Amino acid sequence: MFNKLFHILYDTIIITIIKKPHKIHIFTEFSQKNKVKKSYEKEFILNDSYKPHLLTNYLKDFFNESPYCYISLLDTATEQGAIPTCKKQKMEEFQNLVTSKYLCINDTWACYTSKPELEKQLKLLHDDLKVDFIFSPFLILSNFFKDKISGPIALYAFLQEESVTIAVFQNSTLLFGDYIDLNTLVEDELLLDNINETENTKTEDEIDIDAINLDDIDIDDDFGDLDSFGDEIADLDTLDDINSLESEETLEQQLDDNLEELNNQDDQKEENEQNKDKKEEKITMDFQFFSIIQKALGYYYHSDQYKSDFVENIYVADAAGVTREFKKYIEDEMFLNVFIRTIEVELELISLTKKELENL
Amino acid sequence: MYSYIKPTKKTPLTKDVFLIVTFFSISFFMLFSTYGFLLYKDYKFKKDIASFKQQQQELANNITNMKESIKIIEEDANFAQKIYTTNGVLKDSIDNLFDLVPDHITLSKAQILKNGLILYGITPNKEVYEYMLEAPLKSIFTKNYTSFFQLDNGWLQFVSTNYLDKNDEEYVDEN
Repeated sequence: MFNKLFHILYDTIIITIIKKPHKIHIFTEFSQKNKVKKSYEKEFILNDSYKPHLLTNYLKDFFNESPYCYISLLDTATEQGAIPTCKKQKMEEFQNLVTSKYLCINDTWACYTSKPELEKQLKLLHDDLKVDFIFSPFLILSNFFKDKISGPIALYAFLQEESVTIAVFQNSTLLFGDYIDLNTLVEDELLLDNINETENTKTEDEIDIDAINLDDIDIDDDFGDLDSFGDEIADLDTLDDINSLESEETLEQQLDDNLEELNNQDDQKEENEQNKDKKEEKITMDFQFFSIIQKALGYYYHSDQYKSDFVENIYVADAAGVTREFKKYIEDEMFLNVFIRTIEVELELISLTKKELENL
Repeated sequence: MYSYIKPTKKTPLTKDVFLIVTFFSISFFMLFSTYGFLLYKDYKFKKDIASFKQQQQELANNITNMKESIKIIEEDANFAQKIYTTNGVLKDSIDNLFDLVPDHITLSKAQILKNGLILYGITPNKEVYEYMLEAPLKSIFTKNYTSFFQLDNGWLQFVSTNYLDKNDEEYVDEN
């Protein structure tokens, strides 16, 4: 009774922390009786100036506002996955769970994670702040596509910048699950593997990449500008009769202007190069995602452990911002119907946290 | 259950809140205790007042009853005093009566009436009676009637009836 009274007096604060290699993303939501009152967002860039107490102090402010403050994390352990059974004996056939912690979902499937890595994630916060919930990305995926997983067989993928979570669901039952941490993959391993696999069947991917590279290259214009500027410099070099100039000051002014113009052109060139790099990175990432999904589906089809069936649809929860090319890769290469939904991971974490709080 | 770990127990009762709650709890407890004590005292006073009022009423009733009793007792006392006085007067009258009767005359019966006296007795002769008894009786009573009856031994048995007039009677009563 008192607890209910205090819940009326205080807001429920849910803080989601999504840790990435270069930054920590914090999303905080204040709610009262499932009504969202306000929310805050902050990112801590993990550079040399970052100090753990900055994060702790930031979070402590929320704890001062309400005692009902919960911290939720998305499990980023490299050793994690999902198993299509909840019987302990059968689970051992899929994964050695001695050093893993697992959760049974609806008594039909389970998700597991590495205990040491779980402990490591719990040590993210300092002082007396403690993590309250850690959710598996498989649960995020199943919760995000809860309207779809109860239907016929389909592949579901949760794409993040640093990881890919893949699951096959049929009638709300998990048939296959795999988690790939992109940071642990050897660089270009997947690409090479994929190229080797598709080598015999005429690599359209390579052609695509070449085509895209060619489309994106518009450096000609930049070089044109540089050439013209070079000509101007050359003209200056060939001036034998300096006395023909009106004055030395005019020459110096002209030289300064030309140098400034040269610097501006350098900046533009850098920006263009950065944009080009970003585009290339995106395309590489899309291809990497595609390769992972293709490989995972291949494994699902060929492995005797899993009850495999033909997959026609793939539902993608996109938190990485994939381009159209990704969809094109899958449709062209794997002949699957692709449905992409943008996912806001922090909101999904909050949704799961609320579900947990309802069951407390 | 969706999380790998269980959340830490959240309570709004931090040390500061606990201190404040304790302080207010004690304050409220004392306030309510005082209020309860005052309520009890008020109730007790009211109850005592009701009890005293009832006692007062009973005492008033008793006083009334006692006053009535005193009145009755006083009446009875007056009545007794009257009887006592009357009896004293009667006794004196009887004493006087017997003093009136000379030695020669023997009374066999005396009947004292409210306004008269009837004497029965024997006398050796009529003259003894007339001189020695009738004369004092006549001085007392207004009406005297005497009848004689001759006995075998020569004596006379007499019945003397004496009455007082009403006016005289009142006069006697007053005395």
